[in-house]
Amino acid sequence: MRLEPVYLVAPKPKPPSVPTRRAFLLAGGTLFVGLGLGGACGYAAGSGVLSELEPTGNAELDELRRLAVRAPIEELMDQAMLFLDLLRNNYPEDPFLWQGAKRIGEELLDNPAAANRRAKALWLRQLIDRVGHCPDGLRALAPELARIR
Amino acid sequence: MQGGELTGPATAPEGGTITVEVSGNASEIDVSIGGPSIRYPVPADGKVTFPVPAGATGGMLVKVSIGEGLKRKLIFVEIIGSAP
Repeated sequence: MRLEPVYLVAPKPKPPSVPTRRAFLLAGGTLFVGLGLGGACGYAAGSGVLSELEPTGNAELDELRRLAVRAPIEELMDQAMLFLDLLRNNYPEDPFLWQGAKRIGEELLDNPAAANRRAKALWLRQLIDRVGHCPDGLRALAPELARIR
Repeated sequence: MQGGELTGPATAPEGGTITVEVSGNASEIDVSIGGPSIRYPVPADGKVTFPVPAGATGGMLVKVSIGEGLKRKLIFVEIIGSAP
């Protein structure tokens, strides 16, 4: 009697997969690292603005900057004419106040029911036309502001 | 220039004059069409008459103000263009 080798076809053994617990820990760790990095970047980006808006020692400028950047749009719009006048006369170089002027312009375009809309649009456009260093983003609104009747 | 009240017309003719009335202790008014301001003294009776600024054409606004800073009082006078 002779022994013959017999070869059986069997599926190739798969490498062991990552155990569920280890996968969970890896995913969780990745999530927390991502959250940490994202939070740190967000804080760094935001803190730049916050620090620049720290008190300047000029209460009037601080209040105007608050209106420009942080105040609800309704509050800014209530003070729009005075805000724009003080921007033009007292702080024409302040970039935060120009942000506020742009917010006013955008609100005038977006909200047909804005109080005193036509006069505000007209005055803002006159400022844009007469202030040489008006930011381009605001200047770009001038043609649309001119169409407000 | 100090505080007070400011009243004036809603409109004025192009090339004409504007009269505003100031009550209180403001010593001068500030007039502008968006560019540099022109200041006019307030006489004892509080009535200030001044010409519509050069360059103020029909449909534009002339701003008149008294006071300083956040307590500034403003009025806007719309300029009516001369008929074509």
